[in-house]
Amino acid sequence: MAEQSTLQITGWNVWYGGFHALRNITASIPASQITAIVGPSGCGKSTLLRSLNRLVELEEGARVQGEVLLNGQNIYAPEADVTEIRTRIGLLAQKPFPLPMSIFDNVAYGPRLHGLHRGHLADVVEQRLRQVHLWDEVKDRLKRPAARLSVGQQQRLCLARALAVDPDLLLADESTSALDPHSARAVEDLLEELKNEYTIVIVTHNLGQAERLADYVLFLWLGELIEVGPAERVFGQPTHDLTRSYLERRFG
Amino acid sequence: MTRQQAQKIAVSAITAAAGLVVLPIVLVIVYIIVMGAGAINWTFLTALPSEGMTEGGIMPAILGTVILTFGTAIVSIPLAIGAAVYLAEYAQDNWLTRAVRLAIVNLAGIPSIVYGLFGLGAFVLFLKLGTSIIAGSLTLGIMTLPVVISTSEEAILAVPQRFRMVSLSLGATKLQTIRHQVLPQALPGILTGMILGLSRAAGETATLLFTVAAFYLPRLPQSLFDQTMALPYHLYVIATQVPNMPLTIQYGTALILLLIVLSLTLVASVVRTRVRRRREW
Ligand SMILES: Nc1ncnc2c1ncn2[C@@H]1O[C@H](COP(=O)(O)OP(=O)(O)O)[C@@H](O)[C@H]1O
Ligand SMILES: [Mg+2]
Repeated sequence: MAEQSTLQITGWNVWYGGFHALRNITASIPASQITAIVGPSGCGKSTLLRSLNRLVELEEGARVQGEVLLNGQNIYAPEADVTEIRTRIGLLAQKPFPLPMSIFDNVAYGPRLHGLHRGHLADVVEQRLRQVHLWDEVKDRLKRPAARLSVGQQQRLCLARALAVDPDLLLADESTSALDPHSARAVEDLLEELKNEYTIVIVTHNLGQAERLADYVLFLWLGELIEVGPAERVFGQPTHDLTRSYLERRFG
Repeated sequence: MTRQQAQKIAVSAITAAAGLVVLPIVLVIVYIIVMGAGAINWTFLTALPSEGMTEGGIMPAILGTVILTFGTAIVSIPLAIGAAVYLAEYAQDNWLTRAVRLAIVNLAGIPSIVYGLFGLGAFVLFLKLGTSIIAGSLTLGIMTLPVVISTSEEAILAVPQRFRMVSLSLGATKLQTIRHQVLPQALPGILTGMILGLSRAAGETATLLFTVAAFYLPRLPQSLFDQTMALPYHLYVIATQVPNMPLTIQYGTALILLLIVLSLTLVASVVRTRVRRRREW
């Protein structure tokens, strides 16, 4: 995996039809840390996250402008290979979406697409399931449907599936909000462990979680980036009134 | 009348309506079995017709129908699935797409005799395929397209968007996503459409009239460019054109046709439940 994957967002705009959902966002996201995108619901957090792996362009009527540089390469350049870019970027969604296949096939889905030799599949699957601490729970039923797992296990499975294509960057969009507190904590702990190897960007409107996990924070408000910086600084001494009042209201 | 009474009457009426729907199909099946079962024996199924079709068997017609059904499948299924994938996954909202949709709706409404005439003009005469299995399969195939396309498109659209997103986010191309997620999940619906279309084709008479069917051909087809007998047309012939035709042979023929169509439907629902069970994941 590429060491020190950096992301630089420059002059980034997204429209849905006539609606200007993200306005001129410029920020750089540090490597091997957890960056949290926070802000009230509807402010464009998911849109920004989906901009980072080029899923946003699949939304109906979406139009984008600006640059997103991953390790210096503009992923929106006309010559950029979108499947290769998405392969380098893992996504964990809000709810676990296991594919309607076995546990094994879920993890193997990406490697198979990319032509991994059959003989290596079992190793990759085991390695990734161990990485998310799911191996011991599922090693005896790898051929069983993934949907039979508990929701918390499913989310860890989805994480293993995302890791199996060996991405540099991990995106997680409120990935614990559908989980019970115990499973949510397990996923949080995993992200914490993974940040040494991956650059991680999470969306959360759980500020407690942002405080626990984030090294770096982007605060969005109605499509604009209001404040950005190290988590301690943004949470400790917000410079902007909007940030301050949002934090006060959310932390109570 | 109290509301409870009204309710009771309405429920009875609705139940009766539902029951009445079952009645005709049961009557048709029972009637045909009663009238035709006597004709069915090994000779009937395996022999060539003889004595001006009043004796012997109907094997060439059975074989012809089976061949034509396969031919129809080979012509229509790849085209229909291709078109359905295009419409569901690739089509922009433009005049071409609207034209394609309009064409499909209209194709579905064209009477089969008109398809027959089209097949005669286009395949038999213009392409010089002659009255042949290949001309018949092409005509039946085109006739079958609309229903297979519509049901397949619906089935593809019914696959939840999240599975496409997951697949794409793992670096799959759109084509890989369609191949590995969308089509497998849409398969039960696609199968239903295919069988609907094929069973209609298997029972088709008017279309065959001009394109493929032999009135009386007491031998097996030698190639795809040969004519063949086919059950529905054979039934029409023996029921209306041949004097002194024993009734049991007519109903026996109808019974075989019915069995072929019903077994198609049966195979489809078995496959469908199998696939669905596997898909409960
Ligand atoms: N596919 C879409 N089409 C139109 N509007 C959208 C679409 N997705 C999101 N929006 C709008 O864009 C804004 C930002 O949405 P989103 O990025 O999902 O916000 P958040 O994740 O912060 O709640 C919202 O006002 C939302 O209604
Ligand atoms: Mg969101």
